[in-house]
Formats: sequence, structure tokens, C-alpha cells
Amino acid sequence: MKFNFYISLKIVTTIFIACLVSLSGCSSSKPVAEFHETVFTMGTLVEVTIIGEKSALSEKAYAAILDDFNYMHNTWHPWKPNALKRVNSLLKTGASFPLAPSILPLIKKSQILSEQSQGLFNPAIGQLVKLWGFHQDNLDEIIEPPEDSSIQVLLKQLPKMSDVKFKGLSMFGINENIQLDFGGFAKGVAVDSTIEHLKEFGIKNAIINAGGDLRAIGTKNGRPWRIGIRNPRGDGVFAAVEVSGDESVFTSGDYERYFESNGKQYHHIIDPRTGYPADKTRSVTVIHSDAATADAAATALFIAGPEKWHEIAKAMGIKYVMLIAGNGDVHMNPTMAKRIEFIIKQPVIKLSSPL
Amino acid sequence: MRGIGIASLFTTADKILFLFSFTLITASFFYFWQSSPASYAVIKSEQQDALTINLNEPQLLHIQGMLGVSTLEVKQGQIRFVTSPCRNKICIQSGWHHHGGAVSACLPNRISVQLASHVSNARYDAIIF
Repeated sequence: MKFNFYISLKIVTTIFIACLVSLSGCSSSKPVAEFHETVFTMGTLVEVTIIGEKSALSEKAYAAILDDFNYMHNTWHPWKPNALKRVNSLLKTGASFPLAPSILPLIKKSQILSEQSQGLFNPAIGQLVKLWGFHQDNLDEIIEPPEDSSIQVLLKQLPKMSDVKFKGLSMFGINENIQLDFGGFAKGVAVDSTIEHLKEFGIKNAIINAGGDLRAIGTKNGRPWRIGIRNPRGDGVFAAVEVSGDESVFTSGDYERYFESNGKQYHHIIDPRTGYPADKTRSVTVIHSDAATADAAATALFIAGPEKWHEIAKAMGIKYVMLIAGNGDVHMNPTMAKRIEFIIKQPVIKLSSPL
Repeated sequence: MRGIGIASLFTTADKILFLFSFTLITASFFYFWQSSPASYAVIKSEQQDALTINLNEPQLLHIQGMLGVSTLEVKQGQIRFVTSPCRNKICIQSGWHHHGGAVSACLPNRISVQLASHVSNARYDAIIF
């Protein structure tokens, strides 16, 4: 009897182990329809990934959101002949004009975010952006930074988002220097809009990654999406984070858009207080439910730098922040620290109080 | 009454079986759920048809873009821009790329490189920057 008991125990154990091994293989190797496409639009490279849908539906949804992207790019580009250019021209005159429906959501949302960020996120400084040359899709034409005197002229009457006023069904500007340039923020709004459009098609699991900033919905075959955060100095991935449900991960970095002049790099994130590129930060990564807010916050916190990011993040309602300072130190709030896995050498971490 | 020790229930062969099974489970976990470098890349340009290349075959690729020809180097499962007609060379400075899910691009020249893996669970589903 004793012998039989041992034999039975061994057989049961072996079968159990075999099941575990086979299950681990089956769950991962099960083929899942994956649609993946990349396209140049909104002045950047946009990647669309859709999981678990029939290819016909994925292709139909992709075609629809591609139209969305192209429409938004053409409508919101600040220097092309379009609705935004017309609004900018009219705002400078100070006279009232009818509300522009295609631009209104951008203005309303950015006014709120600009106020929360204490003006660090400021899409009204399009003239300053143009002075630096960062309004161009192609930075190859920039030869050198602008004259300081030209920057100081614009700073004397620095436009704010609150300089756009509404009265009934009309709007008007109160600062002749105002030039709305939504830049990256338009990308965030476009990602939100296209994700909502995908949902309307019944798509539950997808990522839209617009030039390195993304919003992810659902899961990747039942597990969270794994997002790598590129090393701001050097090759490879610096850290990783998992997202699921419906979350946006946006990064602002000094390495994204820049030009070099006389051996010095000038990046595109202009501090509205100084008129020059913000210089205390290498990159900021923000996780938030909607992409537009994540986008605006990443810009504002980059400008805020290591000393002020926590205060601004709190005011903007952001719960997950990782800021890499100019000296390489990593500043994070505790809930972000729990989600971040460092891939390369563990950096010096400065943990903040909770947000 | 003396109980029977658990260790005495198993022979050396059983222990080897357990060790083998444990190793297999651990390996399969890492294989299916963790690291997976890219094995191929899809190169797209508005000036020519998309190209799928094996990252394990060393080669130099000359891709026609909007501004001119960009050269990409493929070596040991990695790919990078070596030359490009853009002025700021951000594509070149981004260095080697080898993670499945990574994307590299020369925006001025309108050339993109999407890295992917034949294993369905690459380490990253997307890379942000």
C-alpha cells in the first residue's frame, strides 16, 4: 500500500508539472490578430497597433483615424493657410469675430491647463516659437539662435492663453503679440480624438503612439502593455512601465527637436519666463488618463524643473511623474516609483512626497 | 509515532525530474513573457516600397527618402542610421536599435524603421521618447 501511495504521488506531481509547462506555452503562443501600421502625419511618425480584431475592421478603423489625423494636422497647423491661421490673424486685431468651432476645443482645454500650470504650458507664445524657428516641421533650415533683443521685445508683452476672450458666440484677443501654436499639445488632443474614434469602432485593445507619445486602451492579449522609455542620453531603453485600461504616457525631452549652433544644442521647449529653452531638465514622463493633459503636463513640468515640478503636477492633477534632471538624477513621486522598472544602471532617485 | 519525511518520499531521479521541470518552467516564463530582441525590421519611405529585412544578416542599406539617400547599417540583430541628408542628424545620434517594438525614423527624410520580433511577446509593445 505504501509503495502504491508513493507511486501515485509521483505520477500526480509529474502530471501537474507537465500541465504547468504546457499551459505556459499555450497561453503565449495562441495566435492573436495584430494590426500594425506606421504613417507620417501631424509632423511626426504615428504608429497604430490594434489587437484581437478582424483585419477588415482594423483596416477600416485605421483608414478613418488616418483621415482624422490629416484633418487635424491641416486644421491646427499654426502657419499653414487654415482655420488656426485665420483665428490668429483675427485675434491680433482685437476685434470680435465668430467662434471658430474647429479650434474652440483646443483653446478651451489649453486655457484650463495653462492656468493650472501657472503659465508654464503656454500655447500663446507662437511668436517666440517662430523666432527660434521651431514652428517648422524641418529644423534643418535653422542656422543660429535669435538675437536676445528680439526675445526681450516679445517677453515685454508676453501673451497668455487668458488673452483670448469670449463673449457670447464671439471671441477676441487682448494682446497683439498673441500667436496660438499648439505644437505638441495638438498631438495629444489628436491622440485622444483618434482613440475615442477607435472605441466607436468597437476596438478595445489598441495603442496610438504619435512620435513617441502614446495612449493605450485595453491590454495586449490579457496582459498589460509594456512601454519602454528611451534613454535620454545614449542608446536603448532607460526604464519600462506597464499600462492597461486606458492610460496615456507622454514624455518631453531636450533630445526630441533641437538644432546645433557653434557647438551648442538648442532644444524646442521654450520657457515662457525667459524666452530661452528650459535648461534644468533632460526629460519628463507623465502618465495620465487623457493624452492632452499628459502632453501639456509633460511640457509644463519640463520647464518647471527639479525644484518646481511637484507643485505644478499637483496643481494639474497629475498622479504619475518621472523627471530626469540635467545632472541625471531621477525625481519621482512614490506611486510612479512603484510602476517604473529601470532597465539600465539604477540612477540616483529623489523620491518626492505623494502627489 | 514517527512521521515520514517528505525528502525520503523521493528518489534521486525524482529530484532530477523536479529540477528539470523547474528549469523548464522558469525558462519558458522568460522566453514567453520577458525579453525578446527584434529579429526583423520594416523600413518605410515615401519614395520606395516598404522593405522587410533580417536583422541577423549584416548589410548596408541605401534608402531613397524625400531629401536624398539615407544609409542604414544592420549588424548582430541591431540597426542604425549611418548617414542621412538631414542637417541635424538626430536619426544618426539615436544610435543602435535592437528592441522589438522600437521605432527609429529620419523625419526630414521621411524614412521610418519599425523593429519587430517573430516571437509574439516582444519585450516592449511600444517605446516612447
